[in-house]
Amino acid sequence: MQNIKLSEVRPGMILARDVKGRFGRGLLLSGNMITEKHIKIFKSWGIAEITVEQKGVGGQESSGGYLSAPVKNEQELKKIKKLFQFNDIQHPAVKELFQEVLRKTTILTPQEESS
Amino acid sequence: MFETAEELIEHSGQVASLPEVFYRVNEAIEDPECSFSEIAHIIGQDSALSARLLKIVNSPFYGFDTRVETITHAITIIGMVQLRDLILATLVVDKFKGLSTSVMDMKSFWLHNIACGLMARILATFCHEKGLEKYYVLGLIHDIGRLIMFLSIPEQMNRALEIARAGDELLSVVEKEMFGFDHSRVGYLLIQSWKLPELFQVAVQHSHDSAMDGNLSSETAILHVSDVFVHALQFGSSGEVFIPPLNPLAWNKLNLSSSMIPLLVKQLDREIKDAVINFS
Repeated sequence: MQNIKLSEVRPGMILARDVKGRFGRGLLLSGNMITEKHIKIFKSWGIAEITVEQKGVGGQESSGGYLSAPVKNEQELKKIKKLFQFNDIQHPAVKELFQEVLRKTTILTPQEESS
Repeated sequence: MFETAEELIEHSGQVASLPEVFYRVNEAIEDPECSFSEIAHIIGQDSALSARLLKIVNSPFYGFDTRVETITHAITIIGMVQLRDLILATLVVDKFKGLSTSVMDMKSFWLHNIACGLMARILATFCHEKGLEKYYVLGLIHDIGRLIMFLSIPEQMNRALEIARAGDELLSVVEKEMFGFDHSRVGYLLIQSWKLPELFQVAVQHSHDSAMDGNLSSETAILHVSDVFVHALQFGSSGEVFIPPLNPLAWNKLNLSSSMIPLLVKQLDREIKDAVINFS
C-alpha cells in the first residue's frame, strides 16, 4: 500500500483507500480497479494523491533521492541547489518544491501528464 | 545611522497613516447600523479608488458573468470585509508605487509581493480558510519593512546585500547583524502605526521567523509558506539572495500533502499575469 501522485497513477492499479472529494463526497471505494475514467474524474475533483495496493504495470519506482529524472544542465542545477542551501532538502515539501523549480527552469523534462 | 527600528520609521516619512478613506470605511464596517449604500457612498467619494476597485472586481479572477458597475453591487457580491481588504491593498500599493531607489528594482520587488499575495490566497483556498482577500493583502505588504529600509538607508542596505551575497548569508540575518533589527520588525512597526488589525502585525513580524512555535496562526503559517514558495519560484525579488528556510511547523499547520505543490504552482502561474496587469 502506498501513496502516489495522480500523475503517476495508471489504469489497472487497485485502490487501497477510499477517495473522497473536497466536501467528503465519496468518489471511489477501495478495492476498485482504477480506469482512465476514474483518473479523469479524480483530476477534475482536484485530487492530488491516492493510495493504491501496488503500482502495477507501467508505474515507475522513483529513485528516492531528490532527483527523479535526468538533469540537462549541471551548472543551472548548481545554482538552484545554492538557492536552496538554507532549506532542508529532505523535507517532503521542500523536495517537491525543488522538483517544481527544476521543472520550471526546464532542467527537468516536464512530467508526463495523464490526460 | 539609526539605532532602532522605531527611529528609522520615524525618519522615513512614511509613518503618516493611510488615506482617510480606509479608516472611514473600516469604521463604517464595524458599525452595525451602517448600510451597504452608506459604505458605497464613502468609497464613491474617492473616484480613483472606486474605479480601481471596480476594475479589480471585474477582472477574470472573480469571473462574474455580468459587469459590476457600482460599488454597492461590488459589496453585495464580494462582501464588505473582502472589499475593505481590497481597498487596503490598493491604497498601500498607491502609497509606495511612485517611489524608486537605486538599490532595488521596484518592479521586481512588487512582483515578488504580488506573487506572494496570490500564493497566500491560493494556499488559503486549499486550506478552506475564510476571508481570502486578507491573505492577498498580507502577501502584498509583508516586505514593506524592507522597502522602507531600501528607501531610507540605501547605502547601508546595499552593503548588507553585498555581504549577504559574498558571505552566503540570508539578507534578513545580515540586517539583524548590521542594524540590530531586521525588516520584519520595521514592517511590524509600520503596520502598527497604520492601525491595521493585530493579525496583520503578528503575521508580518513572524513571517520570516525561524523560531515560530506551535501556536502560530494560520495567517502567519500561510504567509511564511507563500514567501518560501515565491522565493523558490523566483517571481521578482524581495532583495533576499537565498530561499528562506521553510519552517516545518508552519508547513504542518497547513495540513496539506506535499503532492499538492505542483497544483499550487500551476494555479499561481495562471493567476499571476492578470494580477500584474491589474496592478499597473
